[in-house]
Amino acid sequence: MNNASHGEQESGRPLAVEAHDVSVTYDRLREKDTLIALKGFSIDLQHGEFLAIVGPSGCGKSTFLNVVAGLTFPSAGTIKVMGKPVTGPERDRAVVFQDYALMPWRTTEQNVRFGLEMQGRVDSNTPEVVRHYIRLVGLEGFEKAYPRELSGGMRQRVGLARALATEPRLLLMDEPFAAVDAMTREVMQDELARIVSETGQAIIFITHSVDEAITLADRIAVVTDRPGRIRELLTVDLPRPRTREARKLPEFQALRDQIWQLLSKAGVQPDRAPVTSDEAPSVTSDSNATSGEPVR
Amino acid sequence: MTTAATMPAPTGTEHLGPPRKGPTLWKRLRSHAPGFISLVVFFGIWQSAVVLTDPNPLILPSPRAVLEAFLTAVEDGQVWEAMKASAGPLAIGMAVSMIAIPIGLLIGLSPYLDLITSPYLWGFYALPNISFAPLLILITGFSTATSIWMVILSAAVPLCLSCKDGVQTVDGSLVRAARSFGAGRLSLFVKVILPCAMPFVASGVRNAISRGFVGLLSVELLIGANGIGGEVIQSARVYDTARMLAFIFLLIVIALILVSASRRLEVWASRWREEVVI
Repeated sequence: MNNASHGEQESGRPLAVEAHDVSVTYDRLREKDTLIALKGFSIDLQHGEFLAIVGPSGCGKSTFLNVVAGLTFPSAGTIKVMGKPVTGPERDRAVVFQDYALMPWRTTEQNVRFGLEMQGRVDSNTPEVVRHYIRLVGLEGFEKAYPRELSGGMRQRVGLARALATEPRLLLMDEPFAAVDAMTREVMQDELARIVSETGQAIIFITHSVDEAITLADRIAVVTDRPGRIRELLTVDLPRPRTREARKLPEFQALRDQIWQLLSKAGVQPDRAPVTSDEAPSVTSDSNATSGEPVR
Repeated sequence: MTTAATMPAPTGTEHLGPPRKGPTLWKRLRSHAPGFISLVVFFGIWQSAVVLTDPNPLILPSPRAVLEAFLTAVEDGQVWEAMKASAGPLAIGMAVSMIAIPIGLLIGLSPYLDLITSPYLWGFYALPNISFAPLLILITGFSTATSIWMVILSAAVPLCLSCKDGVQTVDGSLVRAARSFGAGRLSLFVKVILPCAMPFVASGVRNAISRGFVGLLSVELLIGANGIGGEVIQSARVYDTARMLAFIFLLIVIALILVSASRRLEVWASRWREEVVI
């Protein structure tokens, strides 16, 4: 999918995302200071490209996602999606949240059509669209189930289908598999790789799992220090599909070592970086993060 | 796919319990058995205490005497009349109190309205409602209007507070999700905030019914108006303790019916919440 998107780029279409020198600061009332969550964050994203942003908790990677989503506004810098400056949420973007954020009073079917309802796009075709994406994420038979009746992995499938049903050109995923257990997580990674090879939108994928980033992404932005800045932008040149076998390839191992080196270099003084409130929940999920990762 | 679907993940956040089935009639009856037995024992002890100690019937009439007094009142049509006299003000007062639902929701949406109205609402809420009865009687006289106003004052305030709480406790991540899809104010309210607040609205209605009932009775007991509370106080005035107890038991039964009916409403409104056991 990457090659195709490069072709489009040459024909003069604007990039999927252009972030230039984006900074975000928060005034913290209790601490009476200003927290710099992001500073001078610049990145370009091609159409159909899968970008993973890897970094420790509190490095501001979720903040960047919120800026792209139009939920948080930068205090400095410019951010464009599909060539247009971001002024708020738009139809060309959809977010998949770490905590699923499904409406507990809605069934799978009703949750999947939620995004379309919010965008005022419900028409006679909607039931067919909803059916299609429920099938795509593998939830046939659970159309009438409420979120409480589904496992964590299945809930996130609903979250993914809800985002995909709006047919966004940019999919924003905020540590989507951080709250599911390790085994389900691997299944979900394979599923996501399969699904996006069908739907083909550009993706920004936030994670603190290095293996997850390498398995899924075309490029990986390693964000280390606070205030969040991109330490290194790496291209993943591994063939797809990247199965569990691919993790044994020397290229995979080398890339993983490189990223861990970057991360541990930054982790020399990890105590200096306070954990922001928006990142704090992910700390608890560290315990069931992907197995096989060295713990800093 | 099947891996995730068939395997409940051991993360502790799963709620994959077996689908709830309606209990059979026999099971339902059996589950109420301890309550029935305790009632039978209660009346048994009461009856035997009266037989053994033979107290002054003014102080403690036998359950039998109470039942007889009740049947007499039914035959005379007094029970029916009293119920009709109480039901009118209660129904009208409750219907008017429903205006508190939109008001409460609106207060919940606006931090400024909340700041402005909070002292009054909490003040009214903390006040025992019998304490504004004398003022009400001064304004409205001894009439049905007194009862109606009392029901409204007793029911509307807790209902309003409950609706406000419902809006204020809406899950922020759901609002964020809706906003990420570009939800406007109206659809955010109708499709996220309102459904989130529904269990609070329902429990507010439930609370309001019982509070309104108490408010009604306090007026009836105070001014001896028509109605069940009035019958209680009139029986007491002529030292007919058995008849008074008969009407008190009628009150208990009506209160229980109201509470269980409104409990059903609450369960219905909260059926999507996992912590509510149906």
